[in-house]
Amino acid sequence: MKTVFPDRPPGLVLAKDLRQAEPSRLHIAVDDSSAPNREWSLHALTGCIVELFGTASLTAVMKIMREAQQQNEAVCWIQTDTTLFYPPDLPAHGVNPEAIYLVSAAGTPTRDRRALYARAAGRTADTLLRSQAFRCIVMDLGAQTIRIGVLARLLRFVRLHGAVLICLTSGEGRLGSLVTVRVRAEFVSSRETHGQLTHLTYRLRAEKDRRASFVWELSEQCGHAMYLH
Amino acid sequence: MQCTCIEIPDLRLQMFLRSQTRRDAHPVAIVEADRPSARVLELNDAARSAGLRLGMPYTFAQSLLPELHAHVIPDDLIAEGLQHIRLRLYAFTPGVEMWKTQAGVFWLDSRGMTRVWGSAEKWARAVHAALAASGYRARMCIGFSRFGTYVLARSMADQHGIQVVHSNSEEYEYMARTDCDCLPISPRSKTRLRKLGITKIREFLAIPSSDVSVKIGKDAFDLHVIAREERNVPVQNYTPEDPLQTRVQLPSLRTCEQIRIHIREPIETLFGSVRNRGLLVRCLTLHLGDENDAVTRTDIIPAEPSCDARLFETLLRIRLESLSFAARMNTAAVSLQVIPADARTFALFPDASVSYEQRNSALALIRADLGNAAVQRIELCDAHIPEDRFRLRSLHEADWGHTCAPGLDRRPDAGPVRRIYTEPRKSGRTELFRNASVLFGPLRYAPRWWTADTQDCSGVPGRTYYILGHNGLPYHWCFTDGTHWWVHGLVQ
Repeated sequence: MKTVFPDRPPGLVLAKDLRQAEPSRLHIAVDDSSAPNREWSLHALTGCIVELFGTASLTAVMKIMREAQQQNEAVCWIQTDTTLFYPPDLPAHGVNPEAIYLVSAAGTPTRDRRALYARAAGRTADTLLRSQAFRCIVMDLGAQTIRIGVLARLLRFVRLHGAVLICLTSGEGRLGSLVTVRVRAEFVSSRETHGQLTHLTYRLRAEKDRRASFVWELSEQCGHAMYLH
Repeated sequence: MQCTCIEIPDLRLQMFLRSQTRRDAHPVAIVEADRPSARVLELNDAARSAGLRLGMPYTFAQSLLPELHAHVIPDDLIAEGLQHIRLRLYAFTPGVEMWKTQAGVFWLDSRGMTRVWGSAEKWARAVHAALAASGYRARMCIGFSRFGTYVLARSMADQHGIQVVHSNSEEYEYMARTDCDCLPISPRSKTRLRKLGITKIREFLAIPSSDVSVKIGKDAFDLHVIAREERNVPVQNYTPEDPLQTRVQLPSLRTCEQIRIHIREPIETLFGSVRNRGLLVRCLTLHLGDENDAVTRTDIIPAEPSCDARLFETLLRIRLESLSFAARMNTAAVSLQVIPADARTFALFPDASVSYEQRNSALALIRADLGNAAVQRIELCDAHIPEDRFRLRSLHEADWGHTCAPGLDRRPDAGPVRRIYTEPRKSGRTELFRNASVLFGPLRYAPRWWTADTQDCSGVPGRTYYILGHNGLPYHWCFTDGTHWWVHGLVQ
């Protein structure tokens, strides 16, 4: 029996009716459950808002962006201040910086306060998610936060359209309780070979994960600073 | 039949004569400027029969024929007349090209006209009659190539008439036999052609292109290029250079909603005009003038060129809502940058995905909200200094492909990712090295070191980069210019 809501405006979808979209090109293509770290992959994070912070946050997010690009999905980076990832570092991680859509919510003529930039970033993410054309959206919030009402709306669209929204923040718990996964990424150790620092290990530690009843921890490796030029 | 050339001989003279009510046989000359030494450009039959020739100074012509009437036709009047003719021709074909270097020459896209009019001759007679009704005598040639039809039209004995060729080879044969005198080149170039013994178009086309410019002249070279290359080029439809625009007087408005309501109707009228002309709008520019005579300019750029007025109204509403007005607005000027709409262009992209359209629509909304420079793409550059190794370009200025470029393969030695500050931040050495040690460096960037006099480039102004960290874990990406220390970013 179909329930009828006479007061509901046409086109409005109730929160309880929202459900994950049927398996589509996106979801079938990214099923990499056999990968060793299934907690930190594009497929695993689909439908989630991720809060990522820590000293290795940029390096950690590269894996998700690379997976999105490898599946021909559009990646958008929303910038809210005057810092940016250094684009020449990205190709080594398998990310094509020229294929990233960069939205600068900072520095618009009529808005010169950071809180307003964050609000603009929230609006931008909302527009991008509604379009269903972006699978991976990274919001570089820094010390800013987003209002909980906006975040709730973003979460609905992330779930509905099978996207990933990663918010880079400067500290723990900035975005409140609505985030699905909260991860701290930190460099933990380095390895020396012949007296030179050659490798770095960074740890991803889930401080909160609504998808599972346990928190998880991963260790990943990358080259050391000697590979930066 | 692919192409029809229309030449209106003595365009200025015809424009002058059609504006006159008296049609008596006064000798008339069109001169280049209103001065005694101005050259005679065009003559009517009465003046020619009196012995006057083109190119002679006006004073000399008047001394030969004291009753000569001389007139100057200004450029804006010529442009207006050409526009009038062009609009008249659009009634007969969707494609009209005007030759910019030779005023009064038009090419019409005559493909498919046989089906509509029964025969090409019928169609041509109708076009010819329409021009005659407007007061213009014209020579027409229906053929296959632009240069071929032009030469055949120009070589017609009469000042007006219609010629039809039925095959490519026939057109080429006629054209090749035509004298070079009919080419629109300077008398000097014509003299050189004669000295070289080149009298027919066939011989002119046989000259190597590289020799034409040197041996004959620049004008002949331009013509030679058109004649040699354009055989398969279709008629290039008219592209307006000036934007369509309108101006609205506002009754001292302050809110964006009021402004939007007042400019909605003029915008819809403009878009109606755009649709009728078969054009698409690629940019809408709104100039708002306030009571202090200050002007606020805003550009609305859609995801792709469109003639949908509603789309532009939506984008404009979003943009206006993001603006705040300190004074009351008195005037609004709307101008549209348009491009021709051609179904053949869209047919080139049959596989354009819905996702691409959705993506561009979303980005257009964001541009409307945050400004056109808000959406950017990154371009990697081959440069020395770190901040010059990439460039941010606005999406609507950049020329990127439709599809998202695929990801690359990750290298096993990929280092950590740096976060770069737009402007390096000055810092003290003591502060930087308080709990940190050098993990990597020095790495010297000395721009244009090869221009230094000495072998030792340490004296050349430049930067020495270091990566600092603690316990082997990197944190700061900094440099020194010899006097100060700067933090250029973080390693994250």
